[in-house]
Amino acid sequence: MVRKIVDVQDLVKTYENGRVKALNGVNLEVYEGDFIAIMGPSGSGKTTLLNIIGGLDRPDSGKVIVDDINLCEVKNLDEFRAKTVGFVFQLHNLIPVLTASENVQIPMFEQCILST
Amino acid sequence: MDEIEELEHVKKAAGVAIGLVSLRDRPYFLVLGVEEEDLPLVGINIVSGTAFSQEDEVIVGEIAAKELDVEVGERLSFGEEEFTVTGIFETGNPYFDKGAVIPLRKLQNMMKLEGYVMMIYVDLEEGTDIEEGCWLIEEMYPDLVTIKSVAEFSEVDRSLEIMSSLSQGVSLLAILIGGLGVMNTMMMSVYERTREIGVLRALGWKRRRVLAMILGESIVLCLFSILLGTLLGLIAIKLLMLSPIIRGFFEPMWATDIFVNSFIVAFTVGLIGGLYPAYRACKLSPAEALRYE
Repeated sequence: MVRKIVDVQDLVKTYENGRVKALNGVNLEVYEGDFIAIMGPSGSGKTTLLNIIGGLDRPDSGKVIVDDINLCEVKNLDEFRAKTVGFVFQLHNLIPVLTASENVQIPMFEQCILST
Repeated sequence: MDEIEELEHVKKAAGVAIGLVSLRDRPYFLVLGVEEEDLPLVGINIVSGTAFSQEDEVIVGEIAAKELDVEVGERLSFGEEEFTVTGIFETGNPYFDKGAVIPLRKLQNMMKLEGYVMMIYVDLEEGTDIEEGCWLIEEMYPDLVTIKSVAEFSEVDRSLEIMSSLSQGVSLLAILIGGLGVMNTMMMSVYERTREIGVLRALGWKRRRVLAMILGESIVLCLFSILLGTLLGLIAIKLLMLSPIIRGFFEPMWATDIFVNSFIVAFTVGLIGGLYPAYRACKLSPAEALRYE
């Protein structure tokens, strides 16, 4: 049986004290081996959805389970971000004072610190 | 003066006039006017040569003699007046030892303050309680302030009090500006690097690690600033001491506690200045920080 990697249920996320609704009851299931493309116009909530699945942001309500970890129940998502998920940003988001090689090495150092 | 000498328990009273004259390259040089017989009562001990006996004779303080490189027998010009150095004295008070003493009437004439004295030294009869003596004089002359030792001078001298308050005010202002400066620098650093902090948080950096990074930077900035500030301060003092006017009035003190206190104050201010930006930086969520333009 193919394992469910991402399970999103009734996800809601708003900004500006609820005035802007970025996600309104989104449901999504991603299975191992799937190749998914999320498409939509600018401002439709693609980045918000990915931020929440990647543990960079928290939803207002709903459930997000990634690799059997319920992100809504995890108090601290630092370790999840360091160990479980890799995120390729739309913008490069490199650290300007570091070289390209050092930029690539940062997550590896983080892994070492967490594993020791 | 005579009236004070006639007071109960008073053995002797000596009037002292104080004046500032120009001497060589110094626009201000401290000169005391004291009667020759009153020199011991005023605490002036001749260490070389003799006391003055003529109006055109002067005795020079130990420190002043060294600084001016004068010896007994040499001539000194205070403004337009010429004096012969008859002796070198010491009082133990560095301000007086950086000056000179001439006959009281001569200084009064030079300053056009005939009959005036600025201080009166009083010798009490043996066995008299000093507090009682002070009380007696202040009771008779409410306009006068008595002190028991030269060390108490600063307590009654308003100008010293004002200078001390002014110096404290300037120090407080410096601390405030320094603190705001560090805080502003750290705030700008955090603002400029908000996306960078977002990337690090996205990679799994914990809040306390971001906090430690910002605080660490603040501490390094502080230590560097303390070092640079101390160095600039030392250079500024050396430069100020090149001025004869400043050298005539002030003498730098290199006390360890001043350096230690400055270090503690600067370090604490820097640490507090770095705390708010550090707290703000670690409170940001990664998504929030990455959205920052």
